[in-house]
Amino acid sequence: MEIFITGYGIISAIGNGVDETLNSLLDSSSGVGPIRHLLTDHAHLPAGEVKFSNSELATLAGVGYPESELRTVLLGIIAGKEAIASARLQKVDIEHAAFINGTTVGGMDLSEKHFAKLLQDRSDDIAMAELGYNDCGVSSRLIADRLGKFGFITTSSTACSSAANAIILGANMISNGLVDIVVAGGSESLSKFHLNGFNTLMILDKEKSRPFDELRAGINLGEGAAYIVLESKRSVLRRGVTPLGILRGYANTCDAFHQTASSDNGEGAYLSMTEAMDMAAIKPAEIDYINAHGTGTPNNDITELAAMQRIWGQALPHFSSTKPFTGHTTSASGSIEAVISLLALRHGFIPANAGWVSPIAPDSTPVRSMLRHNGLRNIICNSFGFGGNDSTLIFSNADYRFLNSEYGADNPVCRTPRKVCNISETETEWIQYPCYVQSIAQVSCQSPLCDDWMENPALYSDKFAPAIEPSVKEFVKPSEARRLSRILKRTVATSLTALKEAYLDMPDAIITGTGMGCLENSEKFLTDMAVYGESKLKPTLFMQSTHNTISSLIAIMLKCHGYNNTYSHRGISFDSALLDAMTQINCGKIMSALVGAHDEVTPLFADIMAHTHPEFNLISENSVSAVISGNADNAICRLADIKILNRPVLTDVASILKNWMSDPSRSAIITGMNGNPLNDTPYKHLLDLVNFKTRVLKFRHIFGDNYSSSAMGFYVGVRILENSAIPAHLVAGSEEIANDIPVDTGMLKDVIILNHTEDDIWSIIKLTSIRNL
Amino acid sequence: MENLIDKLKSQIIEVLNLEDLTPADIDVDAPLFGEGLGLDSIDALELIVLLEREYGIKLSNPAEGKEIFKSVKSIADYISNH
Repeated sequence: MEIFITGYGIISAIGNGVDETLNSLLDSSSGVGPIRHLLTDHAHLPAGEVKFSNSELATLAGVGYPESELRTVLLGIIAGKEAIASARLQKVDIEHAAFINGTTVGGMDLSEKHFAKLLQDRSDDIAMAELGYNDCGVSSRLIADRLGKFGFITTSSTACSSAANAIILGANMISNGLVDIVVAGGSESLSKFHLNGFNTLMILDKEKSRPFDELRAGINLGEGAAYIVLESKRSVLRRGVTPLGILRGYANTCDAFHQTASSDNGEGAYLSMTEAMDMAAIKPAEIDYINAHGTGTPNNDITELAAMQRIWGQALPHFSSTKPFTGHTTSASGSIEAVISLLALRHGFIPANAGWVSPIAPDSTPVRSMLRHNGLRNIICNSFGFGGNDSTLIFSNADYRFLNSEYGADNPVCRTPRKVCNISETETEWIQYPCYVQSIAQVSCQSPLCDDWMENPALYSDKFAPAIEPSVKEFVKPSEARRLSRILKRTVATSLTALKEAYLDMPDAIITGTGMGCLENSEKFLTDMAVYGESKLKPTLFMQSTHNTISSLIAIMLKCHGYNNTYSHRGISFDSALLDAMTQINCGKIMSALVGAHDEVTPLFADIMAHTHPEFNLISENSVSAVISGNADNAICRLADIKILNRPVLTDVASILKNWMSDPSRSAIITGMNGNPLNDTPYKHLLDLVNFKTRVLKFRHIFGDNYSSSAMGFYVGVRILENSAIPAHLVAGSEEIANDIPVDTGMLKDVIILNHTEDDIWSIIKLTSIRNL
Repeated sequence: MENLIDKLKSQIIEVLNLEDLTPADIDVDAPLFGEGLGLDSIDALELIVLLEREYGIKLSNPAEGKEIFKSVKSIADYISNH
């Protein structure tokens, strides 16, 4: 299916908005210079800083506190507003659209401001509250809410390929008919955290960066935000808008080599470029320009070049890295360079690779000065992240004459936009491959990797229930375990157990949800910054602080080159990962996926969560991994459907429940109720609205509350269907929920997992028995 | 020198989390990287931080580390000479 681009917005060191960006590119004017706004000891390092203070950005964005304190959010709002205006999206369009954001830094700039003080004293309420803006999901939430009320939101966090992966999820959702319009991209501000992190890896150039130059010496970091509007053909026709280009192909692969270094022959980059060209059904010779990842580090550029030469030999297409202009805008670079690629396509030019002097290898000269080139057909845009996370997008010119054909804007068939929550299996016009759960494993505050909780659940009276650590001896050698933080050990234990139980050596995809990511390593790095200042910091902590360390670790262990993505959007991180896996299995892109959700807490962040999440009762940690597959053989149950709805009207959620539960007397609903009225009230309101009686269950009173809790609910649902038994301690009881009645568990058909987050996102997952009943 | 070598061994085990090793397991002349302890480029960066934090020696170019970090002995020699 064709994915059209109908709008774009951008802010970076080379300008606020598409017009300023275009002029800078045509003039080859760089925005890289000394750091002025970020307060750092490394201000002498060149960087592509956006030329406004936070208060100037807040004025431009038209916002006050707390957005005014969060630079990632401010940049995102400015670029997002421009994208929406450029696509001429109306309120009703946005209500049915998805917003998919890529970020990794999130609110780290605010966290690092307070951190030293919080180590001494946790009584400062404002500082504690502001640490609650640390995670990626809250940044996306604050951006989205200033753009309109989207039908769906989530956040992809795979370090420097985040924005490209946000675009890929959006395109897959449109292809699968889940939504017609997606605003996707990324936003990232400079922070002391990652500036110092990259500094510990000794890959920051003290001079202006020189990608693809023989003497290149590293990265200049940058910051910014950009979004593109992706749209289905029927929606383009309905709205009568002229596309800016099409997203003709895309791919994400994993180099599966090392967390921070690419393999010598650039395997991941080679695979992402070739798979994207296969999807676009174009030959290498039809690529007219490559907007390379080209960071300027010795390792990236030589391996990216190696991958290009494996495809094109000595006859490389025109290529350049635009990072000498913008700096490396990390999580935003995928969408910033997507906008640059679309500008090149529309305005007939190839941007220069500034700073280049001499080639790395024969026949490897990038475009040295801005080149006029009318008739560009296909452009490859590469974005590579930590963990060898390699994404390629192909933007193409298209023949838009169909816009004047018989399917005019007045075509009555498509006058109304498709409603996000109203698409059911019956509405889909094409074959959808079903999904099954093959295996599942858990680590939590209950006994790990087993189901003792069913008979003998451990009960906690404290406010914090740490996970019971599994042994990893059977999975990794001590020499490999030495770098693994607690969350990574749990990930290894659950992932390898799930794969083993599914008899699967190599999944086609590894997709992870994590609300807080590698929190322990991030906190240690912040603590070291408070103790040592901006020097003598440890590279391992930074390297393993990014959210996608988790997914990458498993890919590296398995040598899995398949799709690899990570979602970090608070309480729907797991649900987003599951939706991604299901979407790709449904349309036949993949056959199997290892889907997991992993969250850890430190004593400090347990305090912060207690402060910022009054609806939580028992703050906990968990790690859940499942094999989701298109293969029904030996499956435990069917994964029938999943919906994620951003701030829906409650009646819409109720009507989905009614549609999905054909026989309530043979069903169960697993709710996220935990006994705390602040958390439970929305569930009670919803269940009041549905007028049927069924078995109503809860699980968070024994597994606790964290951003990966819905994965635990999913785990419980799978085990209930597998065993045809419901442990009595899970039953909500009719005194709590009037809908609750006993059901015949031997005849159990459907289990619904109902998840509501503090920012009013509902996710609903349906599992169905595959036994012949 | 003996004291320095023993101290270095313990510090290397600590910063690189070589939990399964004791100082006695590390041969002073054995290569730390490659076929020796099997350390990699990130470990080399950690050793640079160790020199800076514990001995006040600052390496600005990671390439310098290649010679210095050959073995525990070569690190000890470098520290004594600086």
